[in-house]
Amino acid sequence: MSGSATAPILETRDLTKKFGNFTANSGINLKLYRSSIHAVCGENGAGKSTMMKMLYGIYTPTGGEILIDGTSTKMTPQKAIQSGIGMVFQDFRLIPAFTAFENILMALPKDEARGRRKDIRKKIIEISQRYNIPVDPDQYVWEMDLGQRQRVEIVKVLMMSKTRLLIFDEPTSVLTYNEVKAFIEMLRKLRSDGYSIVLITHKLHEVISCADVISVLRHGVITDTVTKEQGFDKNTLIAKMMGEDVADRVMNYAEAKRSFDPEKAKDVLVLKDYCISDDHNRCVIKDINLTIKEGEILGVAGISGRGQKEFVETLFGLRAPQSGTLELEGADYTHKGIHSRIDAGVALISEDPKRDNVVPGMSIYEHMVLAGAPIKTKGLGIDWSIIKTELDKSTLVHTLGVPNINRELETLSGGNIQRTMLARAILKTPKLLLASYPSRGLDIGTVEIVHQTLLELKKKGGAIILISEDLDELFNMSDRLCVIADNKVYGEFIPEQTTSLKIGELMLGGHKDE
Amino acid sequence: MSKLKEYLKTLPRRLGKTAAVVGAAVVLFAVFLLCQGVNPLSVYANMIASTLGTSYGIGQVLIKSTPFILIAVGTCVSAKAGLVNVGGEGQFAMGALFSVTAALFIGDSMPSFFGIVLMMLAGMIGGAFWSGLAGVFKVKANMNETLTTLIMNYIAYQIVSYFVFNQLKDPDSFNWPQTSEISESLQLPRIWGKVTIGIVIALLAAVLIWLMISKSKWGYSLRVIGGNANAALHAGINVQKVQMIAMLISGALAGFAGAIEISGVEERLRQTTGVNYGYLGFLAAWMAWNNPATAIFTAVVIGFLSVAGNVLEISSALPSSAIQILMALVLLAILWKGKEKKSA
Repeated sequence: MSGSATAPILETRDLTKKFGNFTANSGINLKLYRSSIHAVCGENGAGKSTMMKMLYGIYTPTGGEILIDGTSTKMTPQKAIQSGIGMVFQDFRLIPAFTAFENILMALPKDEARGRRKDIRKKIIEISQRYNIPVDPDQYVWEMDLGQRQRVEIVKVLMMSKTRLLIFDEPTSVLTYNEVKAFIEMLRKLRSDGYSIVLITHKLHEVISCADVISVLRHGVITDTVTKEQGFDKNTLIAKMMGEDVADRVMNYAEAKRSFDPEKAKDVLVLKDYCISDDHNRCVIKDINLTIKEGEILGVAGISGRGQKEFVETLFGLRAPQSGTLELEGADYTHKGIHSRIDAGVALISEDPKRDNVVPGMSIYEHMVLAGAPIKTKGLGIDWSIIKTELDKSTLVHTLGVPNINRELETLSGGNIQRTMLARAILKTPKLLLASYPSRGLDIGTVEIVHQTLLELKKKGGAIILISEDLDELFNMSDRLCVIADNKVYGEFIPEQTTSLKIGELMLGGHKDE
Repeated sequence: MSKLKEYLKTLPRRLGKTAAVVGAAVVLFAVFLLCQGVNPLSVYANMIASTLGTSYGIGQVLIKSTPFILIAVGTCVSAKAGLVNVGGEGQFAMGALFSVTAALFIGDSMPSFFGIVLMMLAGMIGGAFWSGLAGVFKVKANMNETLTTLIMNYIAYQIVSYFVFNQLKDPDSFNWPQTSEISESLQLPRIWGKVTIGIVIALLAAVLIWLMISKSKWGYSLRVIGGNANAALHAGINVQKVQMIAMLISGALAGFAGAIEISGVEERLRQTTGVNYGYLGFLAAWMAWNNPATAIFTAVVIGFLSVAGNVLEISSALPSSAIQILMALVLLAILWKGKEKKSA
């Protein structure tokens, strides 16, 4: 960690990146100092990833320059590592078949990897203790959840002795509530040890407590840079991120809830002694007894990977339940296939649309008729022109900001795919919507639009099962709440009569003091 | 129709690119010929003159291409459903066996038209039976269709051998392992020289399949499955059923090719009837990136190269199988081109 405290480690001057006619970044000026946390906030597609990839040398800038310790440098990832810049990617660069130790060893520069294995292992444990980053060197990466993988990635970067600047790309998107707290603690410790930290995120509220400088990126341009001394104002920053118009709208969740009257509404879905099993035919959730009514939102809380995926997939008919019965509007659907459930008005928003919904090479409109808009036939063929016209007229498609329907879905960003799939599910006004993490990874503005869309469906009488990890979202949206933990469903809870602390405890520990 | 227009509009450019990579393969093969002490220019000139230069040669190319077109298009159907059917070889053999059995049974007992239709149906049933088995293995036991269809090729070959050595052996053949000749009334009508109506049927079948895949609702679900079977499942498509039907159609087309070969070319079944046709048809499909319309062209190219291979033997003393080096080079070149397309 060389250089004086006042000179920036890394500086950019008018950094610009164009892809064809599209300008992803323009005139980016940043100064990154040691012992400081610099957050770069912006909504999806604001150009955060592009900027960071230029800093690390993955993209070559179209214009401007990058200075390291004051000298202009042509960045490559190798150069970045040599200059002490470490990057923690959103999609981790780890080999699942290797252990944490092997992955770290592989990533170390040659001269550092040549040391004795025992010493390297010792250093891993030292780092993991110093910064409270629990990592088991001998665990295989494929056995780890996303949070554990991220910790391996962080240790990997810290193991390189030259590292003095760390770039994190959306680090908290894979972390649970408590993990986020620990993560922020770790950042503070790193800062006090002199590291310079760049945090790229769209979750403003998480960084506002620890950042020294916050830069707001909007449409590829840094619109504002505020230091801690000047004071952070959350609302001003959100407005800067989103544009004024979105920030002015205030969601009224309470009003939407009042529209639901449990006395009058008919049952849509009734589960009796329902048991869910996983791929290995092990029971992951047992004895579910639930009723969901028209116009009701049932929030399902739980740490991801506790059987939520199997739960919605079994309700949708992709899996068979181990035992129990499922009724849709009074009819027994326990053994009915997916097709008949779709016909009966069930729709599923998958937790991973890329895996479950995207057909490579097919356009958005071709995706829209898959279990969504009705197919119009012309003779034996499909009348695509009518389908396209109807999609163009649909207000829903416009509200949700579905891109040009002639584009290939595969080429869109994750957030855009998610919105498109939500539009598809809502298009046919489903009676029962199974929504897995519909707002995960989306920026604040889009999350509001997603919530509004869901509430409108609710007003029309649609029943919604909302799977989420985000307690704010669950408390705002749900009429009733339940928690998946310890292979059981806990609840139901009325959001107004419980606390997020209680729900959070249930998520982590399951049944304790009930 | 905009897709068709787009297809036709981009066709010259894509054909140009294909010509470039094929050209590279031709140059590489020329190097091989040089190493063998043969003048590549005269070999290429001979190959073209003897195939495209005479009406007999053109006829031979069309006759050879017929089974390749059908098998290639059949391979495309299963490939669109996400299945790699390498069993064209066995499905062709079973189609030939079923149709020759039907033909020997029918004899002169009915009018030519009905007899031929029955023979063709028998061929299609034979092929579909064989691919259908692989389909059942896939759907019911989740066995890899690439492996099962490949293994079943060898079984089909042995079954054909068994019958031509035993029950179906021609009593007048001086113990040659071959069936009797089918009745003259069951031979496909000729339209030009030795060329039968088979090529017309093959082209019609190919166009029909192309329309079915690219325009029909069924073809749409087929493409969804091939693109992402998970997405098809989530859309309520009965993936197993559609895959099973795709396998049946795929095998029926190969069996159809077998029937046409018996009725139009060989007029009897031998152990060697149609050996390697299945693999060459598969090759043609992959050269066309499993697009049935393009597969017509690539099948004809393979047909041309097969006929030209004989010239190689006569004019340069190289074995005719040396042409397979050229075919492999062309395939590699096309796969390379596809790889660039994907990474671009």
